[in-house]
Amino acid sequence: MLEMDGEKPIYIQIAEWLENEIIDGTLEADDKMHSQYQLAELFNINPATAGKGLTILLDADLIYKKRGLGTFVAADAREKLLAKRKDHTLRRLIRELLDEARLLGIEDEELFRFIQTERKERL
Amino acid sequence: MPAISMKNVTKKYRSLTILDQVSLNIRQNVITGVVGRNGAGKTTLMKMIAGYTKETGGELRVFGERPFNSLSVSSNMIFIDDMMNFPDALTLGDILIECERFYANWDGELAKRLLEYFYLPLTLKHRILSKGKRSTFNAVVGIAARCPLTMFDEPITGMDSAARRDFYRALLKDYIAHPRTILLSSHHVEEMEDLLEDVLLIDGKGVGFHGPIIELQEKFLSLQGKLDMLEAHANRHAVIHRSTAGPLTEWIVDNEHTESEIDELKQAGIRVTPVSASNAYLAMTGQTRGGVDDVFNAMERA
Amino acid sequence: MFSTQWSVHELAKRQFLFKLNANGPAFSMLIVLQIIATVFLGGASTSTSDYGSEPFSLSYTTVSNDGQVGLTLFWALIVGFLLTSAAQRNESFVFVTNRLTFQLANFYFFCTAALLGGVTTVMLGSVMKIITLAGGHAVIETAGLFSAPLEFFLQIFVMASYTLLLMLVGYTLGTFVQYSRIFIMLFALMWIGFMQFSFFMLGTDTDSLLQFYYAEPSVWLFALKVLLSAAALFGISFWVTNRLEVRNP
Repeated sequence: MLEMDGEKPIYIQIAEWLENEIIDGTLEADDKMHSQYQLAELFNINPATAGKGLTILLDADLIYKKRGLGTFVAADAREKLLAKRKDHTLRRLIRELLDEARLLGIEDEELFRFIQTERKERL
Repeated sequence: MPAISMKNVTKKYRSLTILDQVSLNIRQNVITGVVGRNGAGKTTLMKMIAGYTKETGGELRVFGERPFNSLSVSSNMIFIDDMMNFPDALTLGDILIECERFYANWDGELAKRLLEYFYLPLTLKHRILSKGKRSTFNAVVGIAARCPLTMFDEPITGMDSAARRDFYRALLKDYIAHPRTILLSSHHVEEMEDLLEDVLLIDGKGVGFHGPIIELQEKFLSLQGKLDMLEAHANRHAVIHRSTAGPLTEWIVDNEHTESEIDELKQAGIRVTPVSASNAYLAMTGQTRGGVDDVFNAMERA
Repeated sequence: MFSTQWSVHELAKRQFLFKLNANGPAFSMLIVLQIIATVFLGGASTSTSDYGSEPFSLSYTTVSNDGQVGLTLFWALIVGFLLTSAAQRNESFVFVTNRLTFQLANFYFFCTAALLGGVTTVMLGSVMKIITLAGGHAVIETAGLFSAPLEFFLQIFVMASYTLLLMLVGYTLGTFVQYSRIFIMLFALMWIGFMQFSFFMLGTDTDSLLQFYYAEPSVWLFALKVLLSAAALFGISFWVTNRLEVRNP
């Protein structure tokens, strides 16, 4: 189920879970999204909280509403998310990486080497 | 119209004031968690809403009517707690029959199936049940009655963790299928917080916080780091709570920081994390670690 | 606004049915008391007198069910008192009620219990006669179901009336005690005062209260007196009940 990410509010975790579903292709363009109530059941949370998770995606135009039918994945949702993740998440992680590196007194070159080694090991 | 509205409601027992000039509105078909420390007045508030006791002053309305001696309020309300009395002469099965007599939306089939699931035979007498089993039975009655106003006062008293989880799950599922106004009080905020839409914190004879739980989750930030760093950098906003665990100090502060302020804190080696609703509640009521230490520290100084 | 609306009458009826189920033991208590009265007090309320001497003698036995009457009235007082207990109130308020339907249901319950008390007590009088017959005596009938049906039913009515009144007395006293424990002391003082008074005024007005009902020769006036007394007790106790909080600490 959800990886409880520290003390992050549950509706943000729901939004992130839905985003991941779109990024990894589980939910494709124009697929029907889970309803607020389905999400509430699935994650054992209040429907209003689940609704707030959906609202985050709606506000970012990642999903769209069809009156009386529910919400659906927007055509460009995946691209948008990838761009956003690169822009936000990756940059944040890099910032944290740099903070840690400075604390340990690691120079940039050493850091690049770390990244390259890690990459090779994963292949 | 709100399900429950209060204007300057006061409740006294003789000369002791329990609730003082409380004003609030409980929204309809919302699950509200009623939280607060022991003796804060949660039970007093709910008994007044139930019409069991009479408000000493102010205006209290439940579905637009004053609850004390109101048949309409009583017919549309159920109050569940561990002090519920059922006649000694009746078995659990008999009690279910009585519920059917009084509650228009009663779902007897659901009640029977839930009792079966919780290993509560209908032939048992209520008074021989253990504390946890009794709470479970009462909770099942509360769910199956499907009253437009359903109040649970410390419903999980004595339940083991599996029963508590099952109760919250059952309540949520039935609420999704049959939305209604639910008041739920508990000391275990962390267990029920995902279930709640609103939180009502009773503190100091009045309302300490009332609003969506999401607001409570965003109300504070937790800052962890060395004390001198915190003192140097985290001095812009009110500190709600301070606690120390080993060399690390944690401050819970108002979440009014700008992004650049947060970046500055992080660069100073301070860990910045969101505060969950239950921790926010604990901080607001002074229940986090170290609170009681002050007593001992004061005694050492004296 | 409300999804469910009940009438006072409907809810009082449902509360009454609930009370019948919940207070079954009160009725078993009555039966046990009456059995005790019949078995153990039977001799005490049966007196035998002998007249004349051999060879002609008349021996007659007075059979009465005073024992059962006494215990039934005692039972009535206790049951009336018990129905004011906090537990009783809590049990009723777990379900749908207000103080009016609660009080009405109690009243219906008392009427039922009084009728049952009246019937069983008078019937036990007949049982006593049968026991006497079985002992080889001839019975000079007083009022029996077949010999004087009207008087038999009248006995039941009178017995039920006394039972109802005592229940209401117990209930009213209990209600005051529930309102404030101070009334226990007040009632105790009143009782002592009453006893002192009757000690000095022996044989004068002391039993006038009892005479008020007991010495009434007209059935209709008796019924009226009972009705008015019951109404007064009901009114007084309701005046207090209507203020009572439920489950206050």
